[in-house]
Parts: sequence; C-alpha cells; structure tokens
Amino acid sequence: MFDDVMPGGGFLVATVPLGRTLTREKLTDMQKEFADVARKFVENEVIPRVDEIEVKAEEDGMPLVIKLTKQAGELGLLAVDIPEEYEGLGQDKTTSMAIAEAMYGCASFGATMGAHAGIGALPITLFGNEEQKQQWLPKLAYAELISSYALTEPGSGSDALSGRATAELSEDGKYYILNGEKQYITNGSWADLSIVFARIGDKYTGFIVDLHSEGVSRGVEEKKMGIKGSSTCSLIFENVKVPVENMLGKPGQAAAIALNILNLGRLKLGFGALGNCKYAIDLTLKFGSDRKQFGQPIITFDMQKGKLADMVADTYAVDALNYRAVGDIDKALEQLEHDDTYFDKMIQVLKTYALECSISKIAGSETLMSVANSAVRMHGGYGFCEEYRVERVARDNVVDTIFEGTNDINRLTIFATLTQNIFGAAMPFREFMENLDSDLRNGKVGRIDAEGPLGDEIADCMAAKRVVAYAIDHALIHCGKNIKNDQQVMAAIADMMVALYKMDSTVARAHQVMEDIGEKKAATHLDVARYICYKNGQIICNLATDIIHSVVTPGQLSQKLSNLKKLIACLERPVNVVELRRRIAGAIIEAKEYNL
Amino acid sequence: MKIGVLLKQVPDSEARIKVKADGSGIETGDIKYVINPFDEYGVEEALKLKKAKGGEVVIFSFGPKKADEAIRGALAMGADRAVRVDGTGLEGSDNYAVARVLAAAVKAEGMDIVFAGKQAIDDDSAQVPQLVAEFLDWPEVGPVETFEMVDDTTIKVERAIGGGSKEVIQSALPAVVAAEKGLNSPRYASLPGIMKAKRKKIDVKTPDALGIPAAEMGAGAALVKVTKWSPPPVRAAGKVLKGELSETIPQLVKLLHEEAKVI
Ligand SMILES: Cc1cc2nc3c(=O)[nH]c(=O)nc-3n(C[C@H](O)[C@H](O)[C@H](O)COP(=O)(O)OP(=O)(O)OC[C@H]3O[C@@H](n4cnc5c(N)ncnc54)[C@H](O)[C@@H]3O)c2cc1C
Repeated sequence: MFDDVMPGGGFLVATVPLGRTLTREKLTDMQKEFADVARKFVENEVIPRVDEIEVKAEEDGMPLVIKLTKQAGELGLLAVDIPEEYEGLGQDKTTSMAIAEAMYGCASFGATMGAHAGIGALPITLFGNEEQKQQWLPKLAYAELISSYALTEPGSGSDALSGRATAELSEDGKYYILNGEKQYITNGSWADLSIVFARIGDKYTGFIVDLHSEGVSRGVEEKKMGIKGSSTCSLIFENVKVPVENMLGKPGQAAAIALNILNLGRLKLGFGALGNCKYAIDLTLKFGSDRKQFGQPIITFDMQKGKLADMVADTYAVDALNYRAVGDIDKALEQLEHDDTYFDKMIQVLKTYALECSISKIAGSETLMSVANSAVRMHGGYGFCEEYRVERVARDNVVDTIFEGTNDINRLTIFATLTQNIFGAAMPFREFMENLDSDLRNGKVGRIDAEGPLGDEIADCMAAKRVVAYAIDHALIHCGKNIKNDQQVMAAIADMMVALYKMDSTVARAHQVMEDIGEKKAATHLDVARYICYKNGQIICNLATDIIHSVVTPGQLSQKLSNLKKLIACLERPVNVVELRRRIAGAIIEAKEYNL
Repeated sequence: MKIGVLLKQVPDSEARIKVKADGSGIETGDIKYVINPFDEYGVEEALKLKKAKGGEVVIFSFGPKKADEAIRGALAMGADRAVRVDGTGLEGSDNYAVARVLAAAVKAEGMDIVFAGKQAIDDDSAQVPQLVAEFLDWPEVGPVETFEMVDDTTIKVERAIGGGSKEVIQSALPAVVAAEKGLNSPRYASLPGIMKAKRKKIDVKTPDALGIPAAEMGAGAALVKVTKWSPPPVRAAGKVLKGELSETIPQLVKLLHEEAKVI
C-alpha cells in the first residue's frame, strides 16, 4: 500500500489518508473570520433582498446585484485570490473556497460574483503580463470594474475550443480587429470588460476586451430557469479594436487558459454547492420542525428522517472531499518559489488536480440536486411555492450541472486524467494490480485489519479501492484504444472514482474529528462515515458489476465475475442502515441545524 | 481627538444558553461569543468621529484572554489599539469593580471622550457607563440615538424619554456616551481590516498596575453578588376547555379565579 497520495486520482491506490487531509475543523482563525464576514454580509445585505435581485431591480443607477457586488468588493471579499503586489489580499485557495462556501442563499449573487472574481479576474492573475496585472487587477480586486469571461459561442459549447470569433492584426499593427459572437455570458449586460477568445488565423487566443469599446453590442437577456437575477446574454463584436497589448498570454494559448481556469472554477462551484446544501437542510429542518401533521412535526416521521439523514451524510461527504482537495492543492502551491515563473508553476499544479476538481464539481452539484429535491418534497406544497426558499434553491442549482463544463464533460475529464496517470505511471497502479491479482490467484483476498471505531470503514475503503481498480483494469484491457467509443464505461469509471473519493475523504475527516474531540462527542461524525461507506460501497459494487458484464468477452465472463464477487464480498458486512439513518437524523434534529 | 470605547465580549444572542447544573453560571463550552451589539454602535460612532476629527480610537475591555477575539473584531472595524484589563482572581468582579478599573485605564490613557453600549446583553445590568463616568468625574449621557459635535468641546445627543418624545442634551467634553440601538449602522470588518488587526496592539494591564489593589476586585470584594443562575421556567402546556359555552364559561371563570388567581 502507498501512503503518498498522488494528485490526479492517486487516492485510488493509496491508503486512507488518516490525519493527512485538510478538514474544515483545521481552518485557521483568520480563514474562519473571513468566511464569517462573507456569511454576515450575505445574510444581512443579500438574502433580505433576494426578491428584488431576482427581478434585476436597480438602485443608485445600477443593478442591485452589482451594487451588492461592489459592496462585497469594498469588504475585500473579491480580492482574496489576487496577489498583494496588485492590491489584492494574496490569500491561499483554501481561504477563497471557504468564502465561496459561506456565500450561500442567493445563487444569482453567487454567479455574478463568481463570474467576476473567478473566471473574469483569474485569467489575468494567472496569464497576464506585468503591465496587464498592474492595469487591471487593482480595479477588479475591489469591483471598481466588473469582469466576465466569454468563451462559449452559439456553435461552440462543450467543444469549447472550436469557437469561430476572429482577431486580425490591423494594418498599423496597433490593434487586433475582433469579430464574432459569444453566447450565454454571465455578467454580459453589465460587465466593463471580458476575457474573450478569438482566432488569430488558426491560433485560438485570449484577449482582455474593454466592453465599452466601439463595435461591442450586448444581446437581450436570456429568460432562464434559475439564477434569474444574474445576467446572461450574448456579446457581439463588430470590428472592435483591441489594443495589441491586451492579448492574454501568447497566440494559440486559449486552450491552456480556458482549461486551467476551469479547474479552480469547478472547485469553487463545488464549494458553493456545499454551502447551499447546508442552507437547504437548515430550511428543511426549520420547516419540518414547525409543520405538524397527524399531530406531530413532520420531520419526526421515520421516512422523513431517512431522507434527512441522506441529505446530511451526502453533504458531509462533499464537505470532506472539498476541503481535502483544496488542502492538497494549497500544500503543493506552498512548495513553489515566488519567482518569475510562479504563475506558470501554479498552473502546472492546478493541472495535476484536474481530476479532483472535476469530482468536486460533480459531487457538489449533484448532491445539491438531490438535497434540494428532497428539501422541496419535505416541504410538501409549500416547497412548490416561491415564498419558501427551497423552491429557488432547486431551480438555481440546475445550471451547476451545466456550466463550467457539463457534468458529462467533467466525467470525461476524470477518465482522461486517470488513464493518463495510469499509463504514464504517475501513480503505482500496476503494482497495486499485481498485488491484487496475486491475492486472487493465491486465494488470499480478504478485508484488511484496521483498528479503532472506524476500523471497519477503513477496511471498507481499502476493499472498495480494489473493486474499482479491478473494474478499471478490465475496462482498459478489454476496450483498449476503442474505449473512446465506450463513453458509458468511462462515465461509470468516473462515478466510481467520485464515490470512492467521498468514502476515503469522509473516513479521513471523521477519523480526524474523533482524534480531536473523542469518540463520544464525534458520534454523529462516525455514524455519517459508516453510512457514507455503506452507501458508496453499494454504488461502487453495482457500477463495477455493470462494467465487467459489459466489457469482458463471454468466454472469460464467469471467471472475472467470480473474481469480482470475491472482491465485493470484502465490502459485505452487517450494517443496520435504517437505524444509522435514524441516529444521524435524530442528532441533527436535536441540534436544530446542520452542525457538522 | 483621543476616543475611547468600552467593549465587552458576550455570548451571541442566538447561542443556546445552558445553565450549569449547580446554578453557578452558564455552560461556556460551545457557545459562540461576539462583541456586545450595543458596544458595536459605540465603536462605529467612535470611528466616524475619528474620521471627522482625526486622532485615535482605543478599545477598553475588562475580560479574559478570550475577549481578545471581540477586541480584534473592533480593531478589524478600524479601531487603532486596545487595552484589556486582566489578572488573576478577577472572576466574580461586580459592575462597581469593573467600572473602577475601566475608569482607571481610561484615565491612564487620557481620553477626550468615551463611547459605550447602553448595556451588555449578557447580564443586562446597564450600569457600567454611568459608573465609569462617576469614577472619572465626567458627565454621562445615554442611551443616545443621535450624536453630533457642536464644537470641539461640546456634543449634542438625543435620547428617547417615552411616549415618542426625545430629550436633546448638550454636554461638555470629556464625557461618557452610552449608545442605543440605531445610533448608526456598524460597518462590517473588512478582510484587509481583519489582516491589519492581527498586527495592532492589545495592551494587557492588571488592576494593580492601574493602582487598584487586586484584593478590591473579584468575587470576594463584590458589593453585589450573583447567588444563583436559573433558566426560565418551562412553560406548562395550555388547557383547552371542551363542551358547550354554558359549561365552559363558568369553568373558565373558576380557573381564572382559583388557579391563575387573576380575578
Ligand atoms: C446560466 C449560464 C451561464 C453561463 N455563463 C457562461 C460564461 O460566463 N462564459 C462562457 O463562456 N460560457 C457560459 N455559459 C455556457 C456554458 O459553459 C455552456 O452552456 C456549457 O459549456 C455547455 O455548452 P452547450 O450549452 O453548448 O451544450 P452542448 O455542448 O451542446 O451540450 C449538450 C449536451 O451534450 C452533451 N455533450 C456535449 N459534448 C459531449 C461529448 N463529447 N460527450 C458526451 N456528451 C457530450 C453535454 O453534456 C450536454 O448534455 C453559461 C451557460 C449558462 C446556462
């Protein structure tokens, strides 16, 4: 077994990282204080005005949501990621993620801010030259100017690098002449600048474009299903003169910019979803405790407790994996020397964590989808009415599965990164499989012995890793190069990786909490870890069985299935899930809020 | 101008308070603590005054090391530095003793004006601003809903006196000004403010250093002693009288008379 967890899916073949992950309990005082400022601001200034935000109300001659964004900017909430040299706060990624999490309750505001500070400003931080950073970052740090990011075109969505906008050098060599149309641009109506991608000949390239330039026009607002208070519209460029010094990076660097910006964007989305999961749980707890039917609060019905426990446990898993991922990223970034090539090296680090960022995006957005869905149903008819906020949470969340790369595209990213690292021997997958095969040959397959109250769950994780690895190995062997046509298999592999990362990270976090506050006080954490292991173990076994059935040739199927069954048998043990769910729900109902 | 603010750390008003089994106090373990909300108005007014007149804002607090969290909150809002009075054997000090050391601390720093909250939301005794003023031999005005400077040594404030009427008071400086809710809207601590606050100074002074013998502080020397804490009684379930009005009305009258003893 390997204790070193390599980025890019290395957790698949490593031990459970006990004591080695970042958890929310380990946030520094300052990180917590920053997140508190964010929370207080949203609670006092944003949430009371949600109804106005949703209809794009104006105040002081600007959209209310922009006024609030500027206020958040004055508090420094948008400057966290920007280096101190450019008047930002130069904080680590953990800090900026903790703030993103705390901004829950109004996704329209979240999207507006995210498009500005995340995808709108980050490309300049990471890829801008010194002059560009000096020129733009101080103004973006405090939202003096509002930014946006324009990659998508009518004909170019998931196939993001196929855009057709053009940039042609002017005769005097001073400008690029920009032509084309970008679509679905967040902040499109009110942004002052945009990171726009266009082709110089065949070289797809990024530009910083002043949207007040001549020749820029903005399309009508899309009428959307959710985040209605955010702006989404097209940007049309007709012979717009972009000064040559506004080219971002080098000609042809669009792919590097676009893909690397996405990594952090996806992680941030995972954190935003996490905050909203807690929001939906708290709204449901409050409603379900007040609302009585048949003479009892509806939250105390056993069936509702079952749903609540799922909401809580799934949220906990996202919490654990999000902080683990960003903690690992920060640890890697800390090693970097602050020299001229700092940002290039940073980009390289972010790239190695693409898989974990995609998991965060999928796990966050899809957990929120199920949590919000349960929240609506547990509200009954009230949940279907706008007055009760869960209705909005459920609508707003849908786009989380679409933008920043659809969740399908993210599944492909997980698969591509994983196989790259397996074939490139970036992780000791071969050794792991050799051990596993030899155990199978020698009839030595079994659960590992692990000590302590979470010993069974640690053994579950290790058994699950073998199931996942076995299925992946066979998928790769049997599909070979052809696997490009087997997207369903790739998606199943991605889903197993998501489930495994949830288990592994949850056990690591609950173990840490137990070490810190003792078994008794950590009781609910331990119950959640048990339940997450059970639940995701089941998911993994089902997916692995599907994969083996689908990829293995009929002649070998019975032998391979029998091997798989031996591995799956290591995950089978008595767990009273009904009782577990009751205990988890009971603890949260008693606490009156999600308090884990 | 040298502007002081008295500040106390108190449990968050949303914290769930549990009284210790022996009634000697509250369980402090998991509670979240905050700046006393009325003191926040004091901090804000002090910061506004500093912006208008220049000078510095100094926070004065009596409390344990933990109170630094609240003090840092005020420093993050923009206050310049702080003095915290602490030492051994200070638990159980009553308002009189607390006001006495705070006044001594204010005197040692030579303030021109001191803001405070009209009361702390934990014990609600609403005495410290007046007592501090008394020890300093300064006037005290409060609870104030508005504040303005008439000239460099005169202030004008408004306070509610019931029935919607306001009393307008002019006072010479130095003075203690106790803030009412709504005096202003306290600013949020900004993130750069929080970062700067880490480097600002909190002087810790003992009563002895301020010329007040430790023996005159603490539970032993308290003039007012808290003998016991108890949670509010659990409200008993209501009673529903069933039946015809002709039966229930006499029943109700009887209950009001004999059980509730209100008629
Ligand atoms: C509210 C909102 C805000 C947005 N903000 C911005 C912004 O600020 N800037 C910006 O540049 N863009 C933005 N977008 C665009 C967004 O990034 C795209 O909508 C998204 O990438 C998907 O592209 P598409 O809509 O063209 O869908 P398509 O790419 O047409 O996808 C349709 C379906 O096909 C699937 N699919 C596509 N390719 C594959 C494949 N290879 N294998 C399997 N399945 C596939 C997808 O998963 C999806 O289910 C925004 C979109 C919305 C809705």
